[in-house]
Amino acid sequence: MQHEPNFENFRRTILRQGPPGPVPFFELFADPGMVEAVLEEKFPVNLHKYIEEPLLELPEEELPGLLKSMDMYVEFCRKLGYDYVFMVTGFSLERAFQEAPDSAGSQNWPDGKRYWQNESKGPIQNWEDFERYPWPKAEELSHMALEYVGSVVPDGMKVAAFLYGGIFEASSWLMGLEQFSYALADDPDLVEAICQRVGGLVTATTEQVCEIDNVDMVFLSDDLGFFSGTLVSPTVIRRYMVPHYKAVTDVAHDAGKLLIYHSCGNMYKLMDDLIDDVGIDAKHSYEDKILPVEEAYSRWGDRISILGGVDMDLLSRGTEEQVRARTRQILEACAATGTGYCLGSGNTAANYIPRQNYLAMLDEGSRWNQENFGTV
Amino acid sequence: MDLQTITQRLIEGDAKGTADGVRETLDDGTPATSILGDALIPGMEKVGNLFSEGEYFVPELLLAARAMSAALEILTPKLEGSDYKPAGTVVMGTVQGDMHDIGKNLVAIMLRGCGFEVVDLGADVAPQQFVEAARDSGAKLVGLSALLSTTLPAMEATVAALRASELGEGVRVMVGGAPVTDEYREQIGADGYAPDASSAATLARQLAGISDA
Repeated sequence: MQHEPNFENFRRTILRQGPPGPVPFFELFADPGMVEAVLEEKFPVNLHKYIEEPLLELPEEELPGLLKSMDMYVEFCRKLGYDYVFMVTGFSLERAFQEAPDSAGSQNWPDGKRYWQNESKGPIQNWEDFERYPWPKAEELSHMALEYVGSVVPDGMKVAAFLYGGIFEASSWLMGLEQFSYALADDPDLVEAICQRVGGLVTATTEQVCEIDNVDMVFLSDDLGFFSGTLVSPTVIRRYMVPHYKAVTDVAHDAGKLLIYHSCGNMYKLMDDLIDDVGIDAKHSYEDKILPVEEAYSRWGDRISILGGVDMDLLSRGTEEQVRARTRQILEACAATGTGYCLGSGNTAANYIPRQNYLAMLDEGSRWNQENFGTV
Repeated sequence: MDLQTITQRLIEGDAKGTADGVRETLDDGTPATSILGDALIPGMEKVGNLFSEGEYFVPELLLAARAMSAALEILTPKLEGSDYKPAGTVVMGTVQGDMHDIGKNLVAIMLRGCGFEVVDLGADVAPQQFVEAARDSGAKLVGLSALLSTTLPAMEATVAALRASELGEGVRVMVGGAPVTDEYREQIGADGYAPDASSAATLARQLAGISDA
């Protein structure tokens, strides 16, 4: 039985409105390697550069291949039972990368490489660097991918705008986390200026994407933490980042769109800020080693929706049976009320997750829906 | 100036104040070994505790480490010829295929802060490089960091390479990083697992036989 897309059921679930219904699927994004593995078809262009740099100049001869690639993402989402198509957008920031071979194995990124942020240093080290940095201009931002996908999305489906690079992420990328850390003490005004500039661009991006046809959801993604806490103090995050989260969320809500907040790591000291002050609709990204998703659901599930949570380490290294068992366990804890939870991974449909494990997770969700609601 | 003032300045990440305090205290005749052992190392230990307790974060750790470095730049020449002995030597690195190094850097900071000498191999380190560094430095302790599930096999391969070398069980291995658990540590035959930088320093002392478990 094929899932009939129903974004209104998805919206109802996110907003925790009744009546109880089937558990929707949620994913922040799928790496090209996973899309290719599921569709058993290769992308005609190297998407890596366009995903990492949404504003990259588009050569005319690549346009047909890019449009075909967008079609593949639409087909991936439709085929697997999502009620929306996720698509990256945002602005490019020149930053310092380190390149390494992709260690995923069989579903590698097209050029066989992964790019990692240089944690020591970035292009902005002082005020002079800040002033001469080639900042993107809000009026020059382009969202071609979203516009195209919004024009071809199947009936019943909508589009999610994944804003690539949050305020903390982008600001610390520009300096390198180590230099950013020193600057918090040595030159907080510089940190403030960078965060203001980045926050302004993220807010402008949100304003623009909310006007695109069929874009009904915004993913605000900003990885704040690691295993035992946030990378910088909650005080710093409240001062420099949270006001921008609030601005972005207000823009989305004023336009009638859902605002999903994604953040990896142990950032849970900020949940009350995000729920009460910022007003997010849902939080995504959970790791069993930090806080199992069932625990998150019991703590905050009466205030926001809880999304995903099937652990990435399990998905990437576990057996199919282990994935199914854990998925069922999560569904029994979080999906029992028929609202406020969507099934998915703890992070993304990354290329290093074996296809059969990813499909097993979704299949278990379909079985749950069939057993409890007579539909997939 | 009393040693507690130096300790407090280090905890607050005041590099200039810590260095000034060290100079002043040396001029007063306080032995370098006392400044190191009674002011600086306790200061870093306190910083590590604050990090473990969730009061301090990456910036605070880095600022304290900067203060420690500023102090050691003054102290190190004074320690030569003294009866100071480091706690030991640790070879640190992020395993092959993994580019993340900030976690490993924080551990190195804490290890230096409690008196270890650290041979930092950086990121993307092949198993044999760990073996060679341990052999060449005489280190009895190796620390392995990994952030990616996909690079965990490299952590296992590194432990296997160390055990297969002439170093054998004579070198202790501690592991850490986002996907690492104590169960995985046991599975691959490592000696210790630490969930964060501060507990890594405590674990290193235990494995080096400096303090009780």
